[in-house]
Amino acid sequence: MVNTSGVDERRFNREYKELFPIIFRVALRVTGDCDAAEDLCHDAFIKYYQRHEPLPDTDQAKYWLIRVVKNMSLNYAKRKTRERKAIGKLQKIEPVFADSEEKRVLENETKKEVQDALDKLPYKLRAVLVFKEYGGLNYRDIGKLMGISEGNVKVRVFRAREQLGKILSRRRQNHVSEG
Amino acid sequence: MCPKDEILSAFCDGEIGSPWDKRLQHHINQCARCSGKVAQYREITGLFHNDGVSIGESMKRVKARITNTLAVQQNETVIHPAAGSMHIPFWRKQVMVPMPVLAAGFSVLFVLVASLFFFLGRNDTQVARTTPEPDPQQNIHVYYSMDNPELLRKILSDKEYHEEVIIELPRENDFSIVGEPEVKRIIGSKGN
Repeated sequence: MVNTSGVDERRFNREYKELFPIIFRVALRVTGDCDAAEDLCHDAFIKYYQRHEPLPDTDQAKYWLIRVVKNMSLNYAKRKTRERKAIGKLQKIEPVFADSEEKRVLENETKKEVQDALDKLPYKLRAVLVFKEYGGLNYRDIGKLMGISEGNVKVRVFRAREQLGKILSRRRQNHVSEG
Repeated sequence: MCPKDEILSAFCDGEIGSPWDKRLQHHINQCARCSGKVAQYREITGLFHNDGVSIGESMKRVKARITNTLAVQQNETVIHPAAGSMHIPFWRKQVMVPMPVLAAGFSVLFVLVASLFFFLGRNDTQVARTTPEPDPQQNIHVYYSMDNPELLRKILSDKEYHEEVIIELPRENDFSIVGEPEVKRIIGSKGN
């Protein structure tokens, strides 16, 4: 069955249903911005369906899409950094969510807590952890994706967890002292 | 002795191969510090997987955008059927060339260019060297010097003239293979 866009509709629905949640979470956690994540997902899937030859299985498609999202999110992160420098703000900008968007995307405090903590990590630590936790990729695949060694991935994942643990425990202590 | 925390982190990701994973698990079961670390890492992993991010609306919205974009692209392809399955201007088309092939191509090109410069740079090339040494066995009838190019031109242009002619070349007998040869320049384009 082929729809008007020339892409096999059954294949599109199956792949989209399976892969969108993974790709969207990766994009959302790397960028910290819901609109940006939607844009990245849209662009990544369009690139995927523009391929002349479809990838043989969903795992390869997932890896391919994560790689595209990773490249685009890196550009996004660089652009955001330039913008931040341009407006002269020294502190990190909080992820931009409109009120309605925030209500839609962040249903409870836990997810905001995770996102805020992730935003405090440098990109290279944040990305490996997100690819690990949401992408479900192993160290070897993450290494290939990021152009680093497996050992380097192991170190980055470890450092990301350590930093994340410290950030979260500080936040909890603050909550306790405020309460 | 406790393993490094990096190893414990990798253990949580299932990145420790057999039989080390079993030994590590055995150690973790007995060590309060290591089991605490593993619990901490697993809690962080749990936060990722139970973050409650709702993607339903985003999924619908992005799907609609993708379908729309693909439909627009399909229409553009129909408008430009000559361009194949996707209309891409030729200056934006990409050609995939494997890196080794590219490197080999550049190497060959480099060698060719270097050889060309090497041979052009030499002014003692055998091809360009002319040494007027008359063969004593040959029956020489006429000997013309380049001092009188007009006479030379007249003789060479005369179709009735059948004598063999030896032309004394200028004393500078080293020519470059490029550029206008001295003789041709002196006697003009009519000489042959």
